[in-house]
Amino acid sequence: MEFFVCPCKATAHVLVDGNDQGLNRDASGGLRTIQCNAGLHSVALKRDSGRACTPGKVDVVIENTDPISPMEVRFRCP
Amino acid sequence: MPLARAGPALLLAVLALLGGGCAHYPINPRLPSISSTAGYRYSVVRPLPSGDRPFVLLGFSGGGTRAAAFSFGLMEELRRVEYTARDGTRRRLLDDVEIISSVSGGSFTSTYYALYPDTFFADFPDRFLYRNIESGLLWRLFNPYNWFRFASSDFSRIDMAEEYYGATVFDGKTFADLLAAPKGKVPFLVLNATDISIAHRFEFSQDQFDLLCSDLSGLSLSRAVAASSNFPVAFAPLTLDVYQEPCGPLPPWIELGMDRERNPDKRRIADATAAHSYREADRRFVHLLDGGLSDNLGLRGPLQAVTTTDSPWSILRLANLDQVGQLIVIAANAKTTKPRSWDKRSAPPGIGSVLDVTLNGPMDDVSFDSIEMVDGHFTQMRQLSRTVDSCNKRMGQYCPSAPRIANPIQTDFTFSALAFDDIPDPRLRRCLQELPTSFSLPRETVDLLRAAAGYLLMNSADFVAGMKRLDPSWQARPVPISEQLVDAVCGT
Repeated sequence: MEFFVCPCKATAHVLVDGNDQGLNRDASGGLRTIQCNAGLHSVALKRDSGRACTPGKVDVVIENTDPISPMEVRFRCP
Repeated sequence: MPLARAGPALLLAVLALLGGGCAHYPINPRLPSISSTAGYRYSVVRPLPSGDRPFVLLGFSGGGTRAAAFSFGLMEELRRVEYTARDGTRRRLLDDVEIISSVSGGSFTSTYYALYPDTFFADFPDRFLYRNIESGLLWRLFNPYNWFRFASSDFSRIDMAEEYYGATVFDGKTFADLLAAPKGKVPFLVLNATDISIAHRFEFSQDQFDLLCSDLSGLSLSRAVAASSNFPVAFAPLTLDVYQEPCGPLPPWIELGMDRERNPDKRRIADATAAHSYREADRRFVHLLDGGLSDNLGLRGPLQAVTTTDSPWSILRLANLDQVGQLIVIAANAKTTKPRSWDKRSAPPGIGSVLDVTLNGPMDDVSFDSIEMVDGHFTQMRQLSRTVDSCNKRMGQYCPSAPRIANPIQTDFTFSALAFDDIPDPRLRRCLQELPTSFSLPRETVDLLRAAAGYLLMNSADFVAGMKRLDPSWQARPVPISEQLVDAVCGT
């Protein structure tokens, strides 16, 4: 099992390979850790406001992670 | 003149031959364009689950009527399991079953339940379990009309079997009939077969049929069950058509998963390659045999769903959405263990015994691995979760100002595999382990299998522990197995 977070200023839905995996932040504003299988994934953020984050998507190999120090897949969400 | 007198009979025979020669398997319809909100998919059949309720997933193994009766017994016992939910209401665990993944004999039980949930417990025993399906198939096999039909290269014994199942058990219903049920009324049904060209699991879901650009709604349930229980040699492979016209793109994970350089998990590469193969130019048909050849427990699909976001019915995705508080997976494994006496003498076993081992040996091995993989994954997830909790505890002691690490694993995992090997009474255990694989069993044997399933569930330490975590006041009920029944089936 692999673990990652998507830091950015906004709260947005995390899409893994096009499928919604829930929000990138929890109710208290902390980063939510998302689980996925090891390998190449396309990660994107989608905001309810419709405003875009950059990059539009990140193709990233997610492997060798753990729940204590999840991988960071970074976005800029102005 | 003899020829003149034989004329009408000859004419009839010629007509039958011509008609038979035109016999064709029912063609699965084309899908003009893929819609993720239509067709037989988990997200269409089931509402988003509630994290407050257990997410129950059942796996029914193959094994003919033995497996069908054993899985039916599990369903009967689940109907009796009641617990107090967090909101104080009483619930039946049967109503929390989200998905049933089945193979071969187990697919008769799962499909009948998905089709007729209200009359399932009253009707299924007489409509299937107590019925001599084998003799029904043999009658059709020896019907001269079918001999003429078998002359066609597009009609074989499995198509005849499908017609029989459709006429006697499934009333000609299709996947469209399953879609007509109110959303959430019945579990999502995953019928598993094996695509013999790529030696890979093939499931009867619209997500799978999207790859073929075919509409599953128009396919009969009996055809899917026939494919799932299409035992090699006894029947010929069942054919589905693959449509070359474009109906929509492949899911993104398939292209990503085929990247051999950047995917460390070879299983993902294999799954992606298998899925992609249906869109290759020379792939015009799919030939299916028994699901047991690739997964005789119906657990490989659930394992992919629990461990990946790639599965079209990914349970990991639902966990990410905080919708799976407790996951309970129960496998009804009707595997037998036949006594072998070959090693008592120098002469090697005969061809029948060798064929039996050749067919069943690898299936048993795969089943063993499937159980180990599910159990191992659940153990790993519990360990990871404990590690985060322990880390937080230590930090609280030695570094109280450090922020707490949020534990992403919020699912409680329970896996219970029911098998005859766990029956403590040696006489009953041996008796069940030596039952034949057929589509005809005596009534008492069916009843004994039903009772054994209930007994094994109530005596499963994993299941009982999971239920206690769900409802601390829950108690397993004692399930006695009648001595008279055991005597009747196993001898005194």
